[in-house]
Amino acid sequence: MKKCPVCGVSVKVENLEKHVRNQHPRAEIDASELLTETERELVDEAAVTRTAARPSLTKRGKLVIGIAAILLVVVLAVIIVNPFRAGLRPGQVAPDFSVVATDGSGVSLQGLRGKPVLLEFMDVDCPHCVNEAPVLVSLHSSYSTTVNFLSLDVNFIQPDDSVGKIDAFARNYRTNWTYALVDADLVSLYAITATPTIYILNASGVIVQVYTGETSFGTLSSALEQALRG
Amino acid sequence: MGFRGLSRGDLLVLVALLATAGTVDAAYLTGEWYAAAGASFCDVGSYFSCSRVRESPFSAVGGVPTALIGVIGFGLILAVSTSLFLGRSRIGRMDLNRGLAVLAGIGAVIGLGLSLIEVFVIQAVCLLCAAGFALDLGILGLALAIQRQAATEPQLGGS
Repeated sequence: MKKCPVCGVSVKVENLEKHVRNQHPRAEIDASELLTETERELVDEAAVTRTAARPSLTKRGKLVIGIAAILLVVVLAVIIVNPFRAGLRPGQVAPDFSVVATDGSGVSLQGLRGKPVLLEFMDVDCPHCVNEAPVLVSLHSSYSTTVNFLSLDVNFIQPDDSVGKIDAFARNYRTNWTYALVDADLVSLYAITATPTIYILNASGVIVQVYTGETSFGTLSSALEQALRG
Repeated sequence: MGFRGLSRGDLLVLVALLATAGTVDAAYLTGEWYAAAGASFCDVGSYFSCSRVRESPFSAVGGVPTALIGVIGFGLILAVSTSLFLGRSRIGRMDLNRGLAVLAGIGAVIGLGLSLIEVFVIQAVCLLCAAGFALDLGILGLALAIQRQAATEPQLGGS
């Protein structure tokens, strides 16, 4: 440590020149006279030693680091982007299935061909499905004669759904179309991971659009119009 | 541990690399946590589901997502390993080699705790959280190897 000749504060020897330059820019002091030759040599030696203390990389180390970097990028990218995610996409034919509706009648997806289908995977305990109900009611009032509506309860959130519970939901929200309670096999077949998930199928059973989460009337209406055009 | 043939510099760069990956991973999870506040769907996913873990009460402490704590932790490890690589072995009285090992240890303990909560309480596993825990363990192993090397080699320079 050495005292600054201007303010008297003790400063590290290697920082003295910088201190005088920054703190006392108007001081008429020759920076080269701040340190003795011995002190300057010590400062230069310390700088060299600090640099020399930096660890080096070996050839093997660089190879390991390179491989590790590539692996990390690939693994994180796969987990985040998940290109192998299962699920049906527009352009694919929706897999056929048969279910028993809440009124006891049998319904098959193939049997609904000839008209577009709005196929909703939902859960009566999902608040977002509740929010979506009025949107679907509006759509149904506009498209009920030209589009088949089918809602399938996946029974996941509180796994105690029953025909009675579904009927109560339909009465509460005035969703006057076919409902069915489905099992895990169908959920898995359509790779359902969230409710509501809505598939819009054209008259040939080909998926036109898929929507996950609450979806607006406008968006669903456009998709139905697209399905109606074939 | 199989770190023969790797110099101290190699190990420090590996720590920095893993810490960077951990920071990215935790930052992504933090972003997803805040984005989920506006989610419009119910998750009905399988056992491997980041959203189920995110929706659990264990995803935040006092309103702060645990992933953000991960960003800070991994960020600190990155800073310390970089300082060590640049030749600085102490900050004040703190020995950075030991500091690195302590930070890595804390991260591994927290990661273990959260992983056990995922498996046994939430009963869902987030792959990104698991990746973060794996990075914690990797950093801990490397930090211990660095400290062992530092204990057997003379200190050169630094301040």
